[in-house]
Amino acid sequence: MADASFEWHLQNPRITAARNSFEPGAMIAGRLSVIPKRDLNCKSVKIRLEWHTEGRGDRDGRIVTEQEVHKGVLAGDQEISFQFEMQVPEEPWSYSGHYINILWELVAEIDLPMAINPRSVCAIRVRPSEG
Amino acid sequence: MLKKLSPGSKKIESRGCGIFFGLFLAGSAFPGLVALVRILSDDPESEWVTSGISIFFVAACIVIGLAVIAVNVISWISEARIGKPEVSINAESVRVGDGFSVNYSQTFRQKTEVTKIRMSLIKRESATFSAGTDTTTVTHDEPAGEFEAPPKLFEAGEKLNFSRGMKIPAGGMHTFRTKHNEISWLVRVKVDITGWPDYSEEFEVRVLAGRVAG
Repeated sequence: MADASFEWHLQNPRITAARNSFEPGAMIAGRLSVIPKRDLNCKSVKIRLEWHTEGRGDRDGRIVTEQEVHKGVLAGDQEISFQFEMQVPEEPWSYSGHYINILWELVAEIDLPMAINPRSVCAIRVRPSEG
Repeated sequence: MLKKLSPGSKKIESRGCGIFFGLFLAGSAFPGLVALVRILSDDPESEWVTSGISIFFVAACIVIGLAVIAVNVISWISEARIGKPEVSINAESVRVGDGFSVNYSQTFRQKTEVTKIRMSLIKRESATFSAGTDTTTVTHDEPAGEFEAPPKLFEAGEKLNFSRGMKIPAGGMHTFRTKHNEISWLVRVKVDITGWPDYSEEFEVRVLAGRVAG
């Protein structure tokens, strides 16, 4: 069972058929809510914006931005929220092809000493609006 | 402003490798064939069945080696016959959704009967993966536009020159290049010549991230 539950609240994603869609170069602002199941003495809580490839080829990827939003104790059963703001680069765009897919995501990770780090992934789409 | 496109160098490299491989195969098998024939002629009592099988395999290596050399040399001559085409586009950079004009120019060195000239715009995905010690690259081509010139008999020194409008689709993708994954846009030119192997060359068009407004 996970040591914490996460909830993402993104501000101003473009309203499209794909949820959480952003223009290249846009600013992603939002709030991450974390509710630890017990007291966690963590090294850090980090939020990352990253992309990676999936498909036939070996995986390539890059962490674009990483923000450390908390250090120290997270009290059990108490919700704690972290505001964040990150700029999406101009490229690469999200892509779904025959052999190659390019996926963007926001990742939250609680770095625990000598334990599996609880993490949460929020998929986003980075592409210019059609038309 | 015209921007001249450079042909890919992979074909030249692979042709050189092909000729080298053919020379290596035929060259390394040839002394074996000479030695076997000498043994058989010096010692008529020797085992003919075993020696015959050996001769067959050694001779097969030589034939395959010579065939590989011949295919590559004939292609080379074919290219030399028609001369190198020059391909340029009327833009310094191209973005997703951009239309652009591809200009094709070629002077035929010798009298050549061309049955077809096909120019295509293609999006290519190249994915490289490793399994154990093997590394494999697979590619997938998706055509985005095509143009065919009619058949014609070209005299030596005659020039073929035409322009054609092409477009990177609005829902397309910019050029993307990482260690194992690549998305590229290419103008592929294929010239079918009567009696000779087809001539084919690819020219990369770099497509920048950014979409044309409207």
